Amino acid sequence: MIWLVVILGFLLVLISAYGYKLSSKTAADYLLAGRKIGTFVMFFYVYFAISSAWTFYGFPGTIYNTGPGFMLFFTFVSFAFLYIFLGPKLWAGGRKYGYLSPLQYLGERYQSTGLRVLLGVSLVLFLFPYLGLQAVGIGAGMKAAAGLPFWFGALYMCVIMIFICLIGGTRAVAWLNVLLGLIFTITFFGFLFWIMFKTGNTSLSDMAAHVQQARPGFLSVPGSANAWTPGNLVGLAMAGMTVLAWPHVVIGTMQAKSLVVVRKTIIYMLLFSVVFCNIAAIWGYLIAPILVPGLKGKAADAIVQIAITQYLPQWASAATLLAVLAAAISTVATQLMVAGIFVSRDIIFAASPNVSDKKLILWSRIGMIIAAVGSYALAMARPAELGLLLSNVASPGFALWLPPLIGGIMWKRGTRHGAIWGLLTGVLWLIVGSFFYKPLLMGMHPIIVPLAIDAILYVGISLVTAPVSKEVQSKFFDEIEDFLLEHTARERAEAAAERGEPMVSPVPSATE
Amino acid sequence: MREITSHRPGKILIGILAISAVCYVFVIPFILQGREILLFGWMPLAVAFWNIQTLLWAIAFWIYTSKHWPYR
Repeated sequence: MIWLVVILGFLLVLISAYGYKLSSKTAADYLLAGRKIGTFVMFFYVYFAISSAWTFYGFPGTIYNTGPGFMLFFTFVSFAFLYIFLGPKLWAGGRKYGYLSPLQYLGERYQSTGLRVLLGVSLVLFLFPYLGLQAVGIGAGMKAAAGLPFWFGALYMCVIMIFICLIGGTRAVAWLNVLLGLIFTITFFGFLFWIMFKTGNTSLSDMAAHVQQARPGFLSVPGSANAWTPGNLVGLAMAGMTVLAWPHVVIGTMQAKSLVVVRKTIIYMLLFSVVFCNIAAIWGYLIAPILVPGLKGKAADAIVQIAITQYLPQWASAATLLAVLAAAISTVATQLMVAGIFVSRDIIFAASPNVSDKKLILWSRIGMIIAAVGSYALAMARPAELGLLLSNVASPGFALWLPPLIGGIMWKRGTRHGAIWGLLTGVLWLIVGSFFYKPLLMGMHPIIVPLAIDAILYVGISLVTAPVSKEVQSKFFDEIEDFLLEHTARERAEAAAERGEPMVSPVPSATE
Repeated sequence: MREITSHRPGKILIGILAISAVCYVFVIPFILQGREILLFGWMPLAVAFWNIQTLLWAIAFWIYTSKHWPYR
């Protein structure tokens, strides 16, 4: 089995090397795939950036522990909000002004290098738990499937990731996500149906009745462990609503070839999520409680792997491990690239507008190595269950840049003072409340109080401080909107010309 | 945002999104409490609500962005 894993890793590095050969070696090409990702690749790139080892292990494991109420965390509509409401402006900022990251956009919009650095540091900081839990997933998976030490699996993943990202860049990562996403989906779906037939559990109703009998109250809310009380569930749903702030998803808006790609990607994501999340949930609330009952806490993170190892042939167990590896790599590769972009473009060279592509790429690579090493250290510490590491630490941390992000794109009155003080206070509140003094979170989900304070400070301070100049407002609101309308008109005219149709209305109106 | 709020289909989309999001966060968590109903005999109510919400959003975005979005 270990050879299969090693071969997959070698194959992925080879594909990355081929991707490097094809790339044009500029910063935009290395970091943003030349802003040329089409719908097919974009769908896999984004969907499997958010579907990780956590989806394979943590999602079913948390449902297994706490009940199906956890499903409310997966609020894909927030991705749609990002791609339809905010995405076009970020996309246009990249095209019109050459920005390489959303933080560069916001730094220029708020006229503040300090804010840009602060955002970069806080987002990279909260990427660590997300990256770390992928390493945890692989470590736990290799241990459950092949009996290999936990540290080996986690280290293997970090080393492979460093090679893929350093060599290939975003274009290679995006195409790898297509391959890895297919491996993940086929295994996750296929083995569910196979194990159902193999164990004679072909009736979902009979399985549900069995689970109800074995674990009374488990299939309802708040669940047999009383985890999803109204307060907890409201917090979870709110946390789900803020997933649009995940930086590796936000940056996707700047990598798309066109707005048609942005639009189609999100529709496909919403539709696919219905199938995908139901399969993951069925593993957690129907299959695993019957086939591997009695697990608790962190042990439940490996329920899918354990069930397949126990009931399917040995090669299926190896294939599952490959699928988890695929899931983790597709996510970590994207996140490492994002961490690299933030470190180079928005932290190290935030105050240098004319830095060379060579320097940007070099520092991006250094940033990726630092992020990979840090995530390995976190994985070894393994402070909590996978599901909680994501929903209680990484997600709330990412959510704290929502006020400056949404305000920066939609609200002319938003100021750098509001953004900086809101963000600083929110981050400190979250860290102190999560790790040192829990009463600060007022017994609610970790996202609620810090985000509320962040948003209130952002709005309040913005209203009493001077906004950016009229020229800057015009650049980021009027000119970007004009650019988008002109671009749309041009694309429509070109499409009509290709079809041989006469041009009826080349200039669309925002009020049509 | 102006490009969406300045015409009727955009206002309808925002209305649907706002109402459904408020329901999702502040109403459904309370409706779900203590109800052990299984749709089709196997799908827990929390999962059923999640499916309905996600499909509603998918259809709303699909119709709006393919027929009315200024940047379509």
